[in-house]
Amino acid sequence: MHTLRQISALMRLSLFDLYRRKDLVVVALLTVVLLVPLSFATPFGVKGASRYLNEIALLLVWIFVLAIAMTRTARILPTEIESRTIYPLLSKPASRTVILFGRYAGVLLASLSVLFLFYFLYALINNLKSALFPWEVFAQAFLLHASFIILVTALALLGSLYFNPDANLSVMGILIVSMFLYGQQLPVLASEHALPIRTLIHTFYWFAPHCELFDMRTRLIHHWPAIPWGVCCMIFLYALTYAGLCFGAAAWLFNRKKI
Amino acid sequence: MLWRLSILALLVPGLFFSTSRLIARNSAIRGYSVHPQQGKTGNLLDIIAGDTRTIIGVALLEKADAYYHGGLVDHGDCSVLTACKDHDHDHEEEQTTRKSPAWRDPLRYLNEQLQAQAHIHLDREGAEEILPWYWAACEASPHNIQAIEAAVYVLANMTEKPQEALTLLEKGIQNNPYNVTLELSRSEILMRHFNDFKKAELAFLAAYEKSLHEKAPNDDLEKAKALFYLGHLAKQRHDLTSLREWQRIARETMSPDLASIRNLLEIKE
Repeated sequence: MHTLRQISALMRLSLFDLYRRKDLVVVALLTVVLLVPLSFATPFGVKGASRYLNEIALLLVWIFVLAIAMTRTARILPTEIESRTIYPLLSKPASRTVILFGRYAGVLLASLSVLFLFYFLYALINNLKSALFPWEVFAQAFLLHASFIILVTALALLGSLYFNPDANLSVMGILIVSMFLYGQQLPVLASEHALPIRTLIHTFYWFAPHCELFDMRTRLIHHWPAIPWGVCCMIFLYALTYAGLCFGAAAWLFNRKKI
Repeated sequence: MLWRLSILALLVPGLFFSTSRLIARNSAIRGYSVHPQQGKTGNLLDIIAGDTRTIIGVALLEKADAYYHGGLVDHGDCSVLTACKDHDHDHEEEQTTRKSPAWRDPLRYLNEQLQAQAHIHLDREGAEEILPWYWAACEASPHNIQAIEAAVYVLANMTEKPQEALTLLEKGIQNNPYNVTLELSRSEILMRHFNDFKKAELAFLAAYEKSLHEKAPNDDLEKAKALFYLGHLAKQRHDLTSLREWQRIARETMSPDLASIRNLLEIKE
């Protein structure tokens, strides 16, 4: 119970920090500035097209939520250590793992709240425009997007113990974008190479975070049917397991780190 | 030192400008109207940005094709133009067949479950969803003939907007003055959607004249098509002298293996 109170206090700290800094306001304004002129466009004088707008809106949601989650997570520990605010926290009767988990959960909660806000607005606008809104696919898309955020924040947390914030963001950014684009092409690439490289690519394929599994934008935009909930849960479990392993490694490193 | 730098500052942009003008002029004279690096104005910026615009245009065209297939990216060579002209719509029921067992590669299995979708085509009611991407493709790359052709097809046949299709074609012809395909499309739109046979005949004539200079691999097909329609329209207005003349040109200059030429030669007086 005591530990839970400590974690919830740390989570509240991160949540207030996000809303205090007005990042969300900037991101929301940027989205509006980009989408409102597009919504008035009538290519070739033909009205009624909405999928392209949904696609751009969802792309912006993905980019902005990822940017907020990554930048927040990558700066948790380095900023605390640099500004020496970590010492009052360490002096409290709480283990380093609890502190790390509290801070991580806080950033995760803040990122998920941003995600929820964006998806709520997306659903609201789409529901007003069209009577046939695919609620089941929408729920699955939200769940998988949230899983993606759980995974990348854990990954960024682990990275923050190795790299400085900028390097961490660059490395993770490259890794995530590469996996999005080429994640499923890796076995094909491996089969085209000789043995040592093939094994290396195969190993990377099995251990790298498969971000492409969380993307249900096409399904949502083009009104494809929902995927089986079993598959959805398997992807969610994959994200939880991956995030759990990353957090475990981060906690292990943080407990051994000399501050 | 300063005057040397001034000369260099004048000489280098001057050299770039004159080279770009020369390249643009020569490529225009030779009729390479689809050269990716030939800008409308022939200036340096158009030449440098030419390839980038072409690449963006192609990417946007691919996006439009995916929209035509209801979001499916992997749809083979099927596109708006080929799907509607070369084969029928009988593959709506096709399912993706690349399923792999879950135990062998669970990651691939999960991805296949996410991407699994039947091969469908947008119908007339959803056709407007493709147009923003065609518009963007045409704006990004005014020399992308395929994008213009596909947009014209959707506008004229799927959304019943032939006037917009004609406007787009005229803009396309302005940007690609030596292109036969666009001229032929314009003629067909004028003939089929506006019943303006007089203007259509003039456009077919322009297409035929352009086809004499075109060096593209499908020039014979386009020339044959233009000849057939010229003969057909001459027959429609009972101008037998013109019909005989077009048949003579076809017999002397074209291969009789081409379907359009066979059809032209079979037109009875």
